[in-house]
Amino acid sequence: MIPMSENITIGFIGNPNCGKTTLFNAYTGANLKVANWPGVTVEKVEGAVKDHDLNIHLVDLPGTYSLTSYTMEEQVSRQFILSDDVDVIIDVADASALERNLYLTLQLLELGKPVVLALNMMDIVEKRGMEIDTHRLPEMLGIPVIPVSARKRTGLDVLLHVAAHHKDCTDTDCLIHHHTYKSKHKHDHHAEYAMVYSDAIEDKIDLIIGALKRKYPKLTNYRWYAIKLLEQDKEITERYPVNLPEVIDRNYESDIINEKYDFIQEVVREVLVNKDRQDALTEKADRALTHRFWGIPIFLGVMAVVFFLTFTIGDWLKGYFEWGIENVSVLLGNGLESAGVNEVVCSLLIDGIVAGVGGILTFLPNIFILFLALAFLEDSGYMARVAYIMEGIMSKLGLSGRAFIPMILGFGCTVPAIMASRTLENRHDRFKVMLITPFMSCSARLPIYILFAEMFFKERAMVVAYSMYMISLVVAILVAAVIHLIDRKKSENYLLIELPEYKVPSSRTMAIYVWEKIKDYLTKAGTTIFIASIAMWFILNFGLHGYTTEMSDSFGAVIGHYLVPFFEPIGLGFWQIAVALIAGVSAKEVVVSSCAVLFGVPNINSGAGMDTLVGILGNVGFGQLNAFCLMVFCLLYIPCAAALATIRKEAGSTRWMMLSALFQLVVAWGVTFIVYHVGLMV
Amino acid sequence: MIATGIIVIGIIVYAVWAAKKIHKKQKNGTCCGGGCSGCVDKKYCNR
Amino acid sequence: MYLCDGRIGNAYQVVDIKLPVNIEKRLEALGMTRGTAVAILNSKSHGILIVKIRGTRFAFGCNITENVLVR
Repeated sequence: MIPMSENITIGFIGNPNCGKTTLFNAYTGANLKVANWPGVTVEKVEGAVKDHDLNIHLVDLPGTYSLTSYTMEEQVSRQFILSDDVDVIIDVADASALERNLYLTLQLLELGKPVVLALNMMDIVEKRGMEIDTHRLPEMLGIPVIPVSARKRTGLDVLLHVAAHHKDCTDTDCLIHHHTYKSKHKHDHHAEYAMVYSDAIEDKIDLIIGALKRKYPKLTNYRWYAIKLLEQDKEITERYPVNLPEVIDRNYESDIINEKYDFIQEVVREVLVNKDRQDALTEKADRALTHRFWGIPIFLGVMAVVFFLTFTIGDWLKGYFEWGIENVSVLLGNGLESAGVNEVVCSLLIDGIVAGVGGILTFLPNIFILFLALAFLEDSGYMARVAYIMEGIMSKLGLSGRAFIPMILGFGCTVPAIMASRTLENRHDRFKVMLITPFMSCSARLPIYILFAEMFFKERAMVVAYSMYMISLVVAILVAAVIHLIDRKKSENYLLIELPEYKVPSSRTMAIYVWEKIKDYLTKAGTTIFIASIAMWFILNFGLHGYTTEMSDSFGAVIGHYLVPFFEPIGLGFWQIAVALIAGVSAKEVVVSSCAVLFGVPNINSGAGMDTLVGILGNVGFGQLNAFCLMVFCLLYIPCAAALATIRKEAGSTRWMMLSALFQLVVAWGVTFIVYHVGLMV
Repeated sequence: MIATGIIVIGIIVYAVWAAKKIHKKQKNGTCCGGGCSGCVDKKYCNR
Repeated sequence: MYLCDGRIGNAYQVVDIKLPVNIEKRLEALGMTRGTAVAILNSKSHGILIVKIRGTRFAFGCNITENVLVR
């Protein structure tokens, strides 16, 4: 009996693409806590749920195919499982790919912690006419096996309940299973362990266990340590060495892996019926999407559709936001006036805060659609295909197709894109990708494109904005090519990526993902942009003689005028633009909110606001070409403060961060220069 | 006059809160767009 | 012969993997051990392949397919 209100910790582990995250989310909802494992850059996701009187703390471990010590993710997972911090492990397996998923299961069993196997995606198994003997499987593995479907939300309660109560099941009575034959081995381990190796290896294991028991009497689960020593696992060999050179005469890892797979084949043969019914839909879709010639054009087309949706649906929703902001400003204006509030403060509120923050909020719909589309592509399984499609080009640039995925993520936000470069093991490649990724046009720049494209290019606004994304790709590829030419070192990058079956993305997963992004956007608006707007208002309304309504007398104007010579040759020689661009280092959206404050346009994203702005800009000689140059410059110049901080953390050096910022500035200036002068000639 | 005072104080308080929040995010490992990069301290490894 | 010379639609058996240790172990953990069957489903240009191993699809780049011996 479990006493009232006890706490237990359950860890979730499984292969990538096995639906583990969907299952985890089904229990935790959006109440996730995302952090890092201390000291390493591996993500840790936690949540909590209750099962009757039991408080269950859930931890989602990184998706992995095995638990060796070759990558940080595996080490972290392994350490966590061995520690006292977790009571039970739920091993999530894709039931439609049982053969491969069971490898991790066997490794988990050897770790000695209570394990429950969750057979996920049972709905797919049924649909394909496959059958799994869910009575025989637990017998062969010696652990409870629960069929679930995270998408259809079946089996969830049973799984949680079994896992919670399995915690106390460490003695052999609940791990009984029956093999169909008796081993000739002198120690019949079949009653204790699911995975029994060949006699030769079992003998060695016994010898090593003997030595371990003598040398390290305080350990538990000697069998696992013995197996690891036979595999010459780096971490274990260093921490718990034994002196048995005749026993550990070579590395037995391959033998052990092979024997595990032999056992898995035996299990699958007995337990799985109709295993070859594959997903016809995925085959057909892949024939088109990963086509030799059409793969890339289709990809570009998909990206075009994404941006088309971002613009049209985004704009349609935006109408409501604009109406809202408009009303707020008018009401506020009237209210403040009748309350007799000081005129300076009024200006701060309306021309500063509402203009700045409000201006940014109106772009929320566009951002929302963009992230929704990216989530859809990722969850459906298409992103993995993109790595394959781009491998040809990427390898010519000295990178693996896998490196393209962080770059696509960069279309959303540079920060997670740079972090995603961790998946590349080669340090050299990681730095290359970190240098290139900021050139990918992040979502924060979208408001700039939308605003200026619609102002100066009217009907062709969408085409112009799409062209920014194309320029972004081209510049990134060119930079990569140049780096590759200069740095001819033979880079060893290995494209090795699983292509999961296509699936209709789970709306729940997408909703949680998109909500996180929206929360971030709103937080940014309420903090960084708020402060930047106030700061901007201050330097624009105060000059050497105090408060002034004549902006050209303000501090901002002074600063701006100093910078104009730098921007003149690239078509941006306007002090207001200079000030906006400097402010844009805090967050790219600030360029737009600054313009709202700089040019005194309250509802900048509305038809009227834009016309006003075009007029004002026209008066100082800022036209179509200048707008295009502005967009190009914003696309390429220094990334925002958050991205810079991320680069510094991931690269581990402030110097590298400065270098990359400087590099981007140079490239931005150079490209804009070319664009401007070519434009003048046309 | 009173209204002005209240509003100004309100803005200052909010601005200070916003600045602290940004500082906390920076220490927290930079979190933006749904990802967190590198924590400084176990105590801060939270979102 | 090496995997990169394989033809679409054929299945081969892995004979040897001549890659750095950690890549070899990764492949083995995915089930690509000596004697395993590998079926080639699609290919981009020479050497970039989509294969199926033990029921799962993978995409491999040249650096891998040029160093896996099959028959």
